Amino acid sequence: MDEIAELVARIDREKVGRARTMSAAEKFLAGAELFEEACAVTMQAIRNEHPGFGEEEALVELKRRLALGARLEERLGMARR
Amino acid sequence: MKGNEALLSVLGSLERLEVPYMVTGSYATNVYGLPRSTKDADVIVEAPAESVSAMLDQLESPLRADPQMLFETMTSSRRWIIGVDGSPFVIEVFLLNNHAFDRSRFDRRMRLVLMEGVEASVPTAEDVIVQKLRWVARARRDKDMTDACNVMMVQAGKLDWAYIEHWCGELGAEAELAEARELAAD
Repeated sequence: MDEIAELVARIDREKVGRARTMSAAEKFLAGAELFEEACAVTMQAIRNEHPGFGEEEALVELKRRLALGARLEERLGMARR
Repeated sequence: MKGNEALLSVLGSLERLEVPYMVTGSYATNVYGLPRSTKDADVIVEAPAESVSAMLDQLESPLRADPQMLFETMTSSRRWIIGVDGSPFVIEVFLLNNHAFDRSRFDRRMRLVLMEGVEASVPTAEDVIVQKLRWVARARRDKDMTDACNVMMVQAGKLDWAYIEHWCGELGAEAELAEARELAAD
């Protein structure tokens, strides 16, 4: 196994270990919290990119980017079928 | 309103009305695997469509249900979408269908205590794995294989493999199960 593969395997083992220490309830709630943190960062980036945008316009742009991601995921799936 | 508050509000309505339900999708996967970001919550309910529509009509701002019931061709399920004003987060409500596996995982659902006085119904770890591999077999989405492997790794030593093998066989996902077991092996 090369160094990068070893590093990836070690990181994966650490992630599994951390997940085992979390309660099921914490993990149930974590997905939306992580999504909201990611959206907050992207919203800030959108505001920096478009200083004239109000909250509603920034939200429209965020939703557009999320839809792009969903479409890409769908295309990758279709390419594998 | 944040995504979790929105979901707990909808689940609270289902609990009060005594509508049997379970939270599936990424929420359920996160319970047993590695937590990852999710932009939606999937809820399966066992109730007449009219009762679900009536319940959704009662939702108050910032929750708003799309008045149009949709038909999901991939799963042959009927569903509604609940949006949250000011947020891209959505809750999708599906009617339980009559597929044998869908009924089995619904009947085996478990209660999860989220906080004092707040509980939610979720599928078992085995059913999350089978459902994910069923999707890999049909839609070839990378994230479904990753999710199935993550649940296998985190729940190592606690899984009922006979149950998983039975349903993967019934659903034509044996090859996907073999691949996932190999990927998840230490």
